[in-house]
Amino acid sequence: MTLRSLLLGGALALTALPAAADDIIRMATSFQIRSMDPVSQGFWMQEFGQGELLMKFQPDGTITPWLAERVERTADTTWVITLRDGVTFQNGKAMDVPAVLAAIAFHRERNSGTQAVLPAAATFTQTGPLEITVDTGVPVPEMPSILAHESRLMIIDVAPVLAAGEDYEALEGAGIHTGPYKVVDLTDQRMIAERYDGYWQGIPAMAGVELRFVSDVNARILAVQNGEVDIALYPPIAAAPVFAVTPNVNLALGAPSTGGFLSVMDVMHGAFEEVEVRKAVMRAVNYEELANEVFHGAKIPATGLYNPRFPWAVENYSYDPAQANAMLDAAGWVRDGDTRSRDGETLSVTLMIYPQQPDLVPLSNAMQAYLRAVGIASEIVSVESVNEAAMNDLVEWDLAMVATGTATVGSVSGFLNRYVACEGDRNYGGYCNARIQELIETLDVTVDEDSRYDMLREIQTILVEEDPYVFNATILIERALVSDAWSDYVPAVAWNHIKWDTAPNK
Amino acid sequence: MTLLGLMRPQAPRVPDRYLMRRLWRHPSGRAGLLLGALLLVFALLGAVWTPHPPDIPDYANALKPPSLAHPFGTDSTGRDMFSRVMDGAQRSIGSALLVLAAVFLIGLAVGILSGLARGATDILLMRLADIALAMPPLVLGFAILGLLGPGLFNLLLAVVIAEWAYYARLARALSLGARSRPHVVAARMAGVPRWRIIWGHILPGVALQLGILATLQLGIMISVISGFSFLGLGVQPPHAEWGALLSESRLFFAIAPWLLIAPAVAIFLSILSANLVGIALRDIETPEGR
Amino acid sequence: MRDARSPLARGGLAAAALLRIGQALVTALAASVIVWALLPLAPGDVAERVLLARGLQDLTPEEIEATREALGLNDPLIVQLFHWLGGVARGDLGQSFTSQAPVSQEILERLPATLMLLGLALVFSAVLSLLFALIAAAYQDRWPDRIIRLYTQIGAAVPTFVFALLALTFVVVGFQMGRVLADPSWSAALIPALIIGLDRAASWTQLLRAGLLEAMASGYAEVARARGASERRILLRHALPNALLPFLTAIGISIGALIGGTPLIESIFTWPGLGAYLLEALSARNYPVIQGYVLIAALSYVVASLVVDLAAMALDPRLRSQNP
Repeated sequence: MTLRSLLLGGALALTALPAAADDIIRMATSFQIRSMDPVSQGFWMQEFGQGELLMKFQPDGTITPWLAERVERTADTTWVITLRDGVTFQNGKAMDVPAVLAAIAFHRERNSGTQAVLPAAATFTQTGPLEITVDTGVPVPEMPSILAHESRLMIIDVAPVLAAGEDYEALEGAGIHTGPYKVVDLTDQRMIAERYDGYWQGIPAMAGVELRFVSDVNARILAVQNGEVDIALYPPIAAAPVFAVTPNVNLALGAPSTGGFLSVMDVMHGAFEEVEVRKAVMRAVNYEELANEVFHGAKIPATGLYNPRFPWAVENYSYDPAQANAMLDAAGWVRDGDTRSRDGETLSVTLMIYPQQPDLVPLSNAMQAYLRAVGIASEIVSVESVNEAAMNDLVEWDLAMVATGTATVGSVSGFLNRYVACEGDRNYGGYCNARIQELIETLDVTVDEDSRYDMLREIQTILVEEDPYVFNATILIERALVSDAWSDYVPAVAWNHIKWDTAPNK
Repeated sequence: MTLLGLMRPQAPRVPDRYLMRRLWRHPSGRAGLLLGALLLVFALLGAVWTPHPPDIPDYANALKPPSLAHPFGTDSTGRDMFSRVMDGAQRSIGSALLVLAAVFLIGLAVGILSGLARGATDILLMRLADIALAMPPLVLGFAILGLLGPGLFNLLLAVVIAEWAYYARLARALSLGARSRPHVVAARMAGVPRWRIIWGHILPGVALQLGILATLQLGIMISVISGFSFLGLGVQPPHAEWGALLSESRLFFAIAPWLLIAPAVAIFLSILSANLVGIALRDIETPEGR
Repeated sequence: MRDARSPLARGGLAAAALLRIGQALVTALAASVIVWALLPLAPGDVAERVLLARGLQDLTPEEIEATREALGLNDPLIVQLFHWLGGVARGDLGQSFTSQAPVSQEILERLPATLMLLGLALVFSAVLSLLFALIAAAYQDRWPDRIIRLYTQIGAAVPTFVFALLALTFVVVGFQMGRVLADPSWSAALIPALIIGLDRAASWTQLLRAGLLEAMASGYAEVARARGASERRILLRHALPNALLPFLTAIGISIGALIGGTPLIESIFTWPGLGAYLLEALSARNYPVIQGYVLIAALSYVVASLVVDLAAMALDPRLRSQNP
């Protein structure tokens, strides 16, 4: 018995397994779907072809009807939603006005994200066979975005959810969604979904979906290379040169994202209490190099807080290490080699990243180099959840790096209210700027586009010139790793990775 | 040994005089000592000087194959791999030495105290040690890292907590043995103060045996620390450490396999040096070796 | 040696075995106390952590207090300890913070995968080291022995995870052998187990080879030779049984190291076993899972060393009088 024959024998037995072509979508993602809880985990269902929303965000930045036939503003505080006729939940039940109203009520009652964007006084009432009239009380200018956001108002069949209570396993196979693929099994390894033949747009392209939860980035890449999955999400862009030469592995790029890698500074503690240091940091970052060298051109250089394609975007970021150094010198931080100190205190910061986004490691390494170039020493700490760590002060941090959108599904209020507003639930750094606060509050109830844009531009100016707190490091391009057979796959915007017609190359 | 976990080798009984000379005369011993000294110099040098800055990216030079300027090539951000392996040596070898120094001192203190104090102190300390020893090697380390979170300091603390008990047990047994040796008994009867007996007669022998054990465990410690760092639980980026380097390089093996080889060889050589010394120590222990 | 067959000695065996089992029980109890202590020692507010792990936001102090009460965190520590021990005795290790499923159930789901991989790896390393050591001893100082010694030297200096990593990247993926996202099955475990086994066998071969050579040089081997027994017969009939005992002990020690090493191995092979489960829990600070893992690992270690000790006692009566 030689080693060689043993190895070969094993290999023969093994490679036979995945060889047979099947007609399901095999996808790997880094985040585990923990349960079928529609409140805390429900948003995942939009991403992989289970759940759907009333509106849909498109790659060009517009928002179009999805489960709704149309959504119109009839007055400053009134919207009329007309539902699409003939849509059914995967359990066969009709998606009619009462069902949608029940779903909306369910989310408004339990989902803090929904509560944050919809005024408590808003009412949803049936005003026709397929018509819902929304009276928001105060103006809600971004209603279409709210309806298009996966974490806000997913349309589900509420009755089975209420019957299941906390026994979320009962919802596997219950068909509470309207999408092309119905969840039949969810474990800590994978989610299996089957084609829903009654789907309203037609027969879904594939027989089902097998979604694997693979937190290890190497394993996701190797799985594509080895033909075990067709599509792997969250590829490390830093490894783009590897993908270029690896057989059966292709880096697919889609539209520029509404999000990027944001850097949030802790203004309550440490070095960033000082506004001059914050200003200097924003000017120390080489945005061009980040996008083109660190991420091999698979990201777009950040020129401002927003993707420049949005009409309100201000392109006011600049890379100017000389000015950054001058600012720190002027603030009394005396440079000595790679570090600076003042009154015996060294200028140093802690960068906080998290492991599910592999690109944060090269990004934070580059950030360290930029900080060092202006004399700021830094350490990196990796936490499982930045939200949890920052909001509960679990670790000491100064600069949190998070992948998030500033205009997710076209909405600016979500980001501003959660991350920037004084009492925002993701205001990691304890930032509270009176003028910005005033602008955010006014913006939330202003319908007129031109005045909205003016306010947004003023916020962007303050965040660079006067009182920096959060800045974009790079703008993402939607991306995925795909096998040769799936090389035409277009990575989706708004996380809608699997659509009803998603299929391999013809 | 190759165990992922901490192997707990038997400390060979070695004649305490002329130990270094005997080791030097033994071919394996000499090779191991030379290799170890070389690695130590490499680590010390790496702590103060490297040919290129180990942590600063140079994107224009990313993923270059080995060359004269970059003997181990450059990594995905253009950092010189030779410099990173050199810089990482202080964290791989240095951390292992630090952990061993800590368990050596704790073991020595607790063991001698326990062996000489007897009674309640002894029972308390040894029960504590027994509980620590009841855990499979490393598992306690994982548990402590789970409590404290990742980081080099936490890792070192975790390994010390997981390992001290074995040294304490050994030190206690050795000091009990030394206590009843004729010259110690005679010294006691002659009224030599207790601390002088400990200092002069018990400590040196116990310390030597514990030191030998620590030497034998050096390779295992390096593999443990690099293993934890490979998992991201130890040394944090951008700092280089051999296990962390392996983990960083994994992604790029398809186009830059040499990145995987350099840290692996570094780990291999340092464990090999400790193993070679270990072989010599075992040989010296047997009658033919003397 | 004759004592071994006397009734007294058999009583001695039973007594020694009982003593050893008693010790194992005490150790297991101590281990569970230590494992329990992990929770009160944990930094931060455990009740808050539980709620955050469930995906809740904007926690009110009332919610946190209610959870603390529900989890029994307001009880005196000693009450909490007995509550935990009672749970352990019933096989209840608490609820995972993240999935909210019972930890014992999740461990049971993951355990077969780990046992499969470790079991197969143990078999491979035992078979390989037996084979290599016998060849090396039979051809002492000739070329087969030299090759095997080179292999053991190199193998002993390469950590298992490094070897596994190199083998996975260069052999499994390089030559497209086997799967990356394996579902636990014997065939999927084959290659990872072979890789672990091949690495582990290096140090075992060293040990067994030394034992065999020592036995071959001993007095009774000389006697057998004088009686005209062939070298092969001496090796297999005399040397091997004598060398097996220390070998068995070494395997026992290795089981502990294998258990401790599973997280690394399973992470490299993306093997969905207990080790991978622990790593997920570590990054989420999912304490009940960490506690459950440590307890299971400690208990299996206690059981494994108990079994090895009892086997050694049965094989060698001299050990019965010694305190194990």
